[in-house]
Amino acid sequence: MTTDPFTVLGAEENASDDDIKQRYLALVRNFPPDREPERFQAYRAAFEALSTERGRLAAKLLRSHGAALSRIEMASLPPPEARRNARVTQAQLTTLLVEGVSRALARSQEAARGDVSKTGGAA
Amino acid sequence: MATNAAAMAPFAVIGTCWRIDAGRDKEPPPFCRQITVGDKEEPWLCRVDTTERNWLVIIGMSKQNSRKLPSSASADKLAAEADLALGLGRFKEAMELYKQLLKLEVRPEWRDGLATAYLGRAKALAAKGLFKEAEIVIGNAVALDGVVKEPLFLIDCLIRQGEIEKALAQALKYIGAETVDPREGRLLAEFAAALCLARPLALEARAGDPPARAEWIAAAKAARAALAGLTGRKPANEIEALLSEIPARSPFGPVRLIVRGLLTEDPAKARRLFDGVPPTSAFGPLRVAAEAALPGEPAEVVGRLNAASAAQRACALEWLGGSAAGPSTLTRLFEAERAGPGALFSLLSKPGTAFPAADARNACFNLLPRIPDRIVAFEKAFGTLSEAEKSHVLALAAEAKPDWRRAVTHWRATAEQLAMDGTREGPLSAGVIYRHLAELAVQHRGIAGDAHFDSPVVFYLRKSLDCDPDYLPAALQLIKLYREDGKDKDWHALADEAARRFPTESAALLQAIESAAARKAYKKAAGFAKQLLAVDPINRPARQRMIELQISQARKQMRSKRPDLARKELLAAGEWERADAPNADLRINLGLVGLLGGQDAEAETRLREGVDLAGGGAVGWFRAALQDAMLTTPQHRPTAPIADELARHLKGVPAKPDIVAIAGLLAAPDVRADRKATSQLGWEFGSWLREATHVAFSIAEFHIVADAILNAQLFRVLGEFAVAGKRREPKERLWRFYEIVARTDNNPGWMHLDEEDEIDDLCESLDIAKDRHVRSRIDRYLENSGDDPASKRRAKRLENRVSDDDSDMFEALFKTFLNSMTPRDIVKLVGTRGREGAVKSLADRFAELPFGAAMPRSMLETMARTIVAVALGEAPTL
Repeated sequence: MTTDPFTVLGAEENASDDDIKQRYLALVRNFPPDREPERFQAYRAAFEALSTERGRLAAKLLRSHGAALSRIEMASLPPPEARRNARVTQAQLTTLLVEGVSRALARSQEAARGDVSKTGGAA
Repeated sequence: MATNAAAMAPFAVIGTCWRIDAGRDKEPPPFCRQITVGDKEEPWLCRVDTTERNWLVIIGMSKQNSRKLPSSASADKLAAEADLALGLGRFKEAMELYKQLLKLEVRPEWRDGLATAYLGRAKALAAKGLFKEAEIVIGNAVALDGVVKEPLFLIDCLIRQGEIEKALAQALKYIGAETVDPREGRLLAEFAAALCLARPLALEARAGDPPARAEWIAAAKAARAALAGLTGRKPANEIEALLSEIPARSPFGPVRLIVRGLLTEDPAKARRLFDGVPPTSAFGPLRVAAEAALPGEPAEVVGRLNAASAAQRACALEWLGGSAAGPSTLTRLFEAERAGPGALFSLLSKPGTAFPAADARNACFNLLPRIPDRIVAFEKAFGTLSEAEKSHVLALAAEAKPDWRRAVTHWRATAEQLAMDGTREGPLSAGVIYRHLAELAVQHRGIAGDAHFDSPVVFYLRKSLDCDPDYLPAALQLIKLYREDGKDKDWHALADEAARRFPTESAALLQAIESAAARKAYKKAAGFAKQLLAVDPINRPARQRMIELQISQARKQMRSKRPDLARKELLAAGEWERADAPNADLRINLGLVGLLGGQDAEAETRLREGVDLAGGGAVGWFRAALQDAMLTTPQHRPTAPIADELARHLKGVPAKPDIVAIAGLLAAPDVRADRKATSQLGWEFGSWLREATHVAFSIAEFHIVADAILNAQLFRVLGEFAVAGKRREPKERLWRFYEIVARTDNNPGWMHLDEEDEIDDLCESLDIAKDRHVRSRIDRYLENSGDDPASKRRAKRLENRVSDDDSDMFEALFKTFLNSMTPRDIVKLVGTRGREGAVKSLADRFAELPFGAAMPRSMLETMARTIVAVALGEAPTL
């Protein structure tokens, strides 16, 4: 998850204290801390960064933030109803499966080399 | 650096430089050391140079061994040479020798040797990316005895060539076979499962197949059918029926979970199903793609898609239903984002794109600090930037470099323009920027302030408060700095201002109390305390402080010869006393005021009550004597019965708890502040301590006692305690410190050179142990001499020594590492892991060493690469 607080909360740069609070509470309601502790931590950190006017100004002024880009990207997401047209091809599945085997093989070869080097080191 | 290296030939530069944290602005003495370490027959020869300021540089490395080629002809000698070549990782040579041996006689050990040499050679070729050649060499090894020694390696070579069918056929050979170890068998079954779903190779069980193989083929067919159902958009219930035919524990189990996750409408359930597929397994990328397509918070979906690989994202977008009309906008955005800020800027600012104008402008503006040269392009696309916006972009760009001088210039320009922009937000923004500059000034020396201010931190905090006076944390930070810097006038003014501006903030009121008390404006301080207690009625420290302030005010009244007002003040203080926690000092003072004024019959009772509350005995009466001394003028004789009682109690041999308690009383801030009144008592305590040199204090207990002795300037007593302590605990070096303090009468300028060395060593060990408390105690002693030139000399020596120590540490670590590794070990490592593998392994080992953690990875790899080259007898490469 990104660390940009505006993007994490999905908040506008000119949101008010109330907007931020409402947005945070909505997210916490959807993803309660007992069920999703890591996600809650991220939302909490973002809320703390933006909960005051000075905090929001600091987030806007002192670092580049991706709120606007994030909005553009979110607007480019297919609409939920488009899922009905979802169609994945065998070729795409093949690519992912071969990618998976390649990565897993590389990891196993790496692990085998690690074992050898450890044995060598011990010797 | 390169010039340096040339001058050092035949050594090669094996690294640039890295920083060992020796602190800033320290000038290590220039020197270059040569060290010879490792095996006697095969030593490494290294040079370590610390001529760079604050940096250590390895200049070169060489070795004095040479590789000899085999030359003999007899079979035994040839076999020994072949084994040696194999051990050293010289596989080509080993292959030739074993082939010669096998021509003489076919011995199993020589055949195995040749097979091992083939495998080693194949791995060396694979490490160079020559997978086809590696496969051929493995084929030669298989031809010897028909066994594939490392099937996973062979499958890896095949997949890297794109030979998926061949890889699948190879993996299928091991399904149900018992010839491989269980771990390898599981991996082979998993890879075979993934590959058989990727390529529709015909799968038919044959008569005589082991049952495990038959089960595997049945599960494979069901999994293929389920995936075909998914790609063919069959109804969910049909796909579900196919999925239920896949055994959960079979290697195809992940397909069940992933497809079920895609079919369900409940994202939480889908997430739970996906969690059952390890991301590192062969089905990991499929899981990630399916997860990225989960419905959820738009920002989160975007984040997941952005983090996915291109293939995963393409698949996820299909599942989201988003790529029907060719490559999606999202994909183009992600690709541009990966390509860098310039590419993203170009895409977003391109005329005629469908992006919302305001968002496109903001997104491009946020990219500008990373590509400040695009400011002109930005203005062309979106209109002119204001001066504040321009300096804002340039400030962020300079900070990213980092170029602190420019950053300060641009930040200040931005803040000045924002402060005057006439909006409510402008001055607040300026305040944020000035506070940022103050934070930067704490971290970096390059942040300049203003000539009229000693410290840039103070300057920027002051500026931030000018712009945004309602921000309490900045006011508190500035108050703290003023106090620390001894700027009392500024401190008091700001503390009063903070109390006025934040009348309901405890932190501001506490500062106002401390400030007023420091000015001896006890009445005013008590007023602030009252205000604080109105805000926070159960604040116990505030109640305690309130009583202390009123006692201080009573002392003031007594010295002005107004016992009536003093008594009134003390009675008022009684209102803040808690019934369950009576205040000893208040009772003592009430008693004393009554005795001195002569109008209170109960005075002595109150005094004795207070003494009892303070612990009674020597401690209680000493406390009463201290209060008496502070309540009356220095010329005043101790109030009866204090003098008699104290004299009676100080006659006996002191006990350890009494000594520690009284030393604690003498260390109290109000007692230390009124040294004139209390010095006589301090001296009496010190004299009493002469009888206590036999008391076995631990060094931790003794520190506070030492402070009391030093305040009374009884250096001989301190010396006696130190000598006794040293005798008891010869290994505790702090006793020696106190001995030195006593011998020099607390003046470090009178230390001998050997004593200076002892103190230096002690400081070093305290630094290593991170004992800041005792270290600051020693620093206080060392700072006693102020501008004493000897002290300055000592400081200079300490600074130089830090650099020396760093290079010593580095050299020791480097020696330890090379002592454990001969060139022969490195050649073996190259044999087993290939050259790049050996480099990586060595770099990993360096990274585990303490100095390695501080070095960049590229540097570690260069160092490792040079060591490998030297070990192989090659010229070290740069």
